[in-house]
Amino acid sequence: MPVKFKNNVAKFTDLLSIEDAETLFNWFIKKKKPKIDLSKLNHLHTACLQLLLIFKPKIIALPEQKDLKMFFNAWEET
Amino acid sequence: MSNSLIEQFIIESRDYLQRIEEILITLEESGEDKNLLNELFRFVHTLKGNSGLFNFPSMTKLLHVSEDLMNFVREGTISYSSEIADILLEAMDIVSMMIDEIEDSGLLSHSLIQSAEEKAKEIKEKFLRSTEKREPEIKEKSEKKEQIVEKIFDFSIIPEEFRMRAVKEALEGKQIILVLYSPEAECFYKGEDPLYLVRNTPELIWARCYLREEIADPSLMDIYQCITNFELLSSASKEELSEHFKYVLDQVKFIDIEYSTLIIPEGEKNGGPVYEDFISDARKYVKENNIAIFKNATKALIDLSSPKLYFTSILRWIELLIDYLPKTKNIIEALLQSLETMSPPVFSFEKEPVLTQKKEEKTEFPDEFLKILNSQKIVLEKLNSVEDNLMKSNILKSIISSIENGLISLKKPEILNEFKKISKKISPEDFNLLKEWIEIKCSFSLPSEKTKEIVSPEVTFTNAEQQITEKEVSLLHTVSKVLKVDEIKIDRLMNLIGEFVVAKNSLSYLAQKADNVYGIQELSKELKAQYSVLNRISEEMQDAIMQIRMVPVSTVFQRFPRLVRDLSKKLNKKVRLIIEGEETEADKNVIEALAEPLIHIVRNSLDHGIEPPEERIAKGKPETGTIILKAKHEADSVVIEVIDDGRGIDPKKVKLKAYQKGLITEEHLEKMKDEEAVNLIFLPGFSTAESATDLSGRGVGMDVVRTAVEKFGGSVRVQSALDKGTTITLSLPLSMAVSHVMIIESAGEKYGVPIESVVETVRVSKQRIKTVKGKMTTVLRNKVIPLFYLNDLLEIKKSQTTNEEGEYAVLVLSIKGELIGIVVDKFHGTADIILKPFTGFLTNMKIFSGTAIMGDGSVLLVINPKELIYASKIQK
Repeated sequence: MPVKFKNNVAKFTDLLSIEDAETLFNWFIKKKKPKIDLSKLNHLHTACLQLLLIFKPKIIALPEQKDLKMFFNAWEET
Repeated sequence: MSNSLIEQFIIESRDYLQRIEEILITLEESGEDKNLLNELFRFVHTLKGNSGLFNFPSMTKLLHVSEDLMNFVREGTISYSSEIADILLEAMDIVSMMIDEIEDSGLLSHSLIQSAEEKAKEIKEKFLRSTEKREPEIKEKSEKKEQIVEKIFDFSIIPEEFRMRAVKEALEGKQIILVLYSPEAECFYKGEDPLYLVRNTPELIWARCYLREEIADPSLMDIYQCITNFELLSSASKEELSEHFKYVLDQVKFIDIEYSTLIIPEGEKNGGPVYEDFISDARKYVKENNIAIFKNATKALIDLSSPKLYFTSILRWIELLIDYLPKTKNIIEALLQSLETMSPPVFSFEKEPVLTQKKEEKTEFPDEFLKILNSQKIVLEKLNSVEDNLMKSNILKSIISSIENGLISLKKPEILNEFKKISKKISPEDFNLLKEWIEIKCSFSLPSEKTKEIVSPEVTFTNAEQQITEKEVSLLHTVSKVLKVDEIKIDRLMNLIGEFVVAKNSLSYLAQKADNVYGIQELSKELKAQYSVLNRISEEMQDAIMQIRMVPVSTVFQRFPRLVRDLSKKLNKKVRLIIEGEETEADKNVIEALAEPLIHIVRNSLDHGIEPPEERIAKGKPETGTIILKAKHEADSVVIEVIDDGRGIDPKKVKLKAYQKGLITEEHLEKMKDEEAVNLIFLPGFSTAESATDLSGRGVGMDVVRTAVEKFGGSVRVQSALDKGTTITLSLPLSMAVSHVMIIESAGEKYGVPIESVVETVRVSKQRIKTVKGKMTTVLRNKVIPLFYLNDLLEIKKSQTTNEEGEYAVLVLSIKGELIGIVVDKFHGTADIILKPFTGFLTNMKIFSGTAIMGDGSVLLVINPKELIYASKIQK
């Protein structure tokens, strides 16, 4: 499982596919103050990215991959 | 760049070019065929894509315009004509030449690049311009739109470091393009991952994602609908970007960015020192072109100031721009001014804002919402096929909520209320009302121009499907079971097998030795048994390798349709080419050896053989002439026939011509039979054509054919009937790897003589040898045959030996149709050998065609009979 949930924190690792979108969605619905750790994330499907945009969880660690990090940088600022 | 990659490219490109050429010609003959056009387009497209991997922009460009042209033909905008075929064939020829050059030197010559550019321009001007006419209008519109976007797009959202990177690349000469990518809502269902696509954009500088719709209640959202938009900056060319986004081209917008728009200083305007000195100094430095000092001063000041200040931001920009002076002079000046006034810099060449009011004229709904409406409409249409009512009502709910959400975010309460009323009446059984509402809203809010876009999702859907099938087809093409191997590797294998055979043969000598010398019979027996096993394997191996080297004659034949087409056009003749037996296989070297003679023959047939249409009609022949290229196997050789139904060869004319040119004597002229006369065309320097054309008729043709064919141990024959046609038959050995030789002995040495030239072996007693004018002759079956001692020919100072009955061993050879007797010491039977030509200093020893290693490890010299006799003549 590329997503590990622990309390309010979801830790993403390696690759999140579209299959993970539903799990993620259900988790976001339940959590009031979700936090995500993206440090070990290599890629996530647009469907998952979209959920992050909608639920705006707090990012506690940005991805290490530079080009992926860029997407979250911009979003943090806006 | 790896060499193997480029090698692969070269091999593949040749294949593609060959196929392209074939298709172009087939299309011309059989008219437009959708499948062929698609295939053609795909090949050119792949070729273009491949060429893009390497740095050959002129090639890519030429292929690109060719592809465009083919695309127009495919779409039916332009109909296929022989003019198009000509220009495309010429373009492909240039590409083919480029490939040759790349293979030779890895580089393209300037002249070729130029001709490629010219050809690309020609295609553009001749064919693409007329179709572009309708494009400018659209382009103009989109340009205006782009300008609005440029004004609307807020570049300050891009972090300074990325903007700086983009400006730097722009100053290095690249065009910066802003890509607005709005993936369609259903894209997830098509297996697309827009983020992945964006992340892999070539030369990506910066990218961001945002939601294009507000989600009022996330818990109700459809997570499989894409509502995310992307914006990115790239320094890749528009072609590259179009290629990258080729499957979603309807969902992306490319906007060329003027780099100065990216220079937006930011930060705290208040506070911090204002170094007026710096501004005046800076101006001085720029004026004096004192770059190094200017840069140092700027750097020092940046280090001193807080990075968050507006002032520092300007300095950072200046620091970047200094490196590109003097072209950045104006921008630096504008930045300096901004530093003085603390107001945003105004770049003098910035475009004036245009047409901002255009937005108002726009439709009731923005594009985004129309897209939503449209996609919902498509879903609705598909809803009829859903049987489960629960599912139906769920889908309906999601449709309604997404439209409602859209309306909420649009802040259009009156429409929202109207919609709510309608939505209440909707049930899974009857949702026509909803459908109608959407249809009305769509059409109502769309002026004619927009209707096109509204249908686009449907269209793109089918397009995408088509692309998938195209992809599948091309995949099928690539997954063929053919393995491409460099010829050198096969040759190496061949040599190794040769050595293996020799090594294997030594085993039988070893067995003999074990028995005779050491007297161990058991060992000898076992060795022999082992030998037979190895022998079988080696023979099979040899056979297998031969099979690998076998290629169908089609590899040579395939170039003829083009040749015949071009030449017949040039000559204003009508010619039909029929190819038969193209699957006939022969050794690669043999096939390659065939190519050139065949071209000569076919050219001759076209030029001299086939008559012009008028003449043919006058003779009562069909207007269109026929040339048949036929290949078949005959025993151990491959036979190629070139048959034409042209005017044939006039033996009288040929004889006369040969006489006039001094090629035959008057006596010959009188006595020569017609069949013999026809063969005179093979004499060097013979040509009957009244004038030499640029195709043939310079009197080298047929002579070259014979020389080339004979060089490979083949023969050529001609048969002709006046006004009925000519048949030229080439016969070549199937394989040149293994040669069959007769082994003879002279002065204690063994020699091989190719079996093809051996007519017979006879014993001639000393008495039967007569000397005529110092030359030895003998009479064999009532024919006088000249005799030569092999030892004399090889300059060995020993006399030939006779057998006990005092008879010489004479090898009768046929050289160029003449019989010659060679006196040798002994005959030894025949053998299959792998002939290796001489290399290095020995190459000039033409009297031997090479060497072969025998089973006992000895070296056999193989005589080239023709050269042997020729050399002896020169000596005398």
